[in-house]
Amino acid sequence: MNRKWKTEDEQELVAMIAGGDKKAFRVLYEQTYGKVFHYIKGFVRNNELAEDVVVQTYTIVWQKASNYRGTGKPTTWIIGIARNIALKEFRKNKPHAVFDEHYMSEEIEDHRTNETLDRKEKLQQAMAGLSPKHREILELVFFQDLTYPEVSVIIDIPVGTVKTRVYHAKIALKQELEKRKISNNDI
Amino acid sequence: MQKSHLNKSLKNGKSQTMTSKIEDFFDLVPEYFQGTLDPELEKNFEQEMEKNEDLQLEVQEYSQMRELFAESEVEVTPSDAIFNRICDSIEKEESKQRVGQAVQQKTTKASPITIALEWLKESFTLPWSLALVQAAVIVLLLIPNHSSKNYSTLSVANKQTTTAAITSYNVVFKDSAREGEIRALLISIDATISSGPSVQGKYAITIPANKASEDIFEKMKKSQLILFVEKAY
Repeated sequence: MNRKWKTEDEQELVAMIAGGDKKAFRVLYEQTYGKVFHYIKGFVRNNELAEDVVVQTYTIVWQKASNYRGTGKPTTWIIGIARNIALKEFRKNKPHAVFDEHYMSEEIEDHRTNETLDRKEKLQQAMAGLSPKHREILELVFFQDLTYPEVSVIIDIPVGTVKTRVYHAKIALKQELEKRKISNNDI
Repeated sequence: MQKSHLNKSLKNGKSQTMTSKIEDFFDLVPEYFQGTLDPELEKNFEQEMEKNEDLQLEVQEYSQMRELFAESEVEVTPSDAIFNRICDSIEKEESKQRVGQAVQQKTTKASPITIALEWLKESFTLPWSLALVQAAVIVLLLIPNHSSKNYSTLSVANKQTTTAAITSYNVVFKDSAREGEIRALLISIDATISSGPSVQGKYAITIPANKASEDIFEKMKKSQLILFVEKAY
């Protein structure tokens, strides 16, 4: 497993970016774009807004690279930045709503029947059926590959709450998968 | 160690260290998958997994969830267009910062000059204004007032008289004597007032020596215009 190696590689890139290295910035962007964009798409309704959030996120990465302490994965740091920006965008439109309960992704609007969907699409639909809180926690732990302490820092909740939320989110996902007849043996 | 056995051992009062250690292994599942455990801890973890079915299930479930999320991922290629937008955004922000810094520098540079000018203004304005006003008042007071009555005396200050060729007299005219009468008398005796009046009202008059005589002197003594006359030495 090359996570440690990848982390050190990314940390070196951030250090170079802090020195004004635009090439290193491009490399970091290409290495992290997929995960960051995937995470942001979980928050915002459309691609256009997701791209705006990506642009703002990486602008701040460039500006604040010298502030990066070098502990933990740079991707985690970038995702934390992306979350804050997505929160601001969310509050622009819904200033009184609770973020964890009300943000929605595009997938929720997919109303096709189970028969017409392939497995991948069923999985995406199942995940879209989760509450925002559960969807985010599963995304961070199982897709972004973050540890419980890292998730705790990003969402700003205690580690114990992270574990509890993961436990309940997995149960909820299993229920969604069962609805879509994805075998329980897969989980 | 099974979880049920763990519960029994808790009831038997086993140390908390043992309990927290096992729970810690469950918390370390993500790190185990990410390969970030130090070698000794990883070894302990795997040893625990061999004997703990619950931990085995946790690890298996974790693996399946990761696979599920990987399967659901939509491939995205880093967009050149988005990167260009990022570069433009960075340039815009840096430009704003440069303008901000320039304004700040200008403000900072101007401050001492502005402060100095303000000091000069405050220290000179009031006193100099007062000085100008005083000067104006003085000038106004010094300008002669032409409407006022001019006073002139009978003496002819500019006229020069040769001492040797004249005879001088000290004269005090009566208060009732008019100027015209006095001038007429002086002309009749060919006299000129050379100075006066003094504080006592005394005039010094001169008559050319060849014209001065005792008769003239007697005439002046008898004149109704003259209060006092004597020869001056």
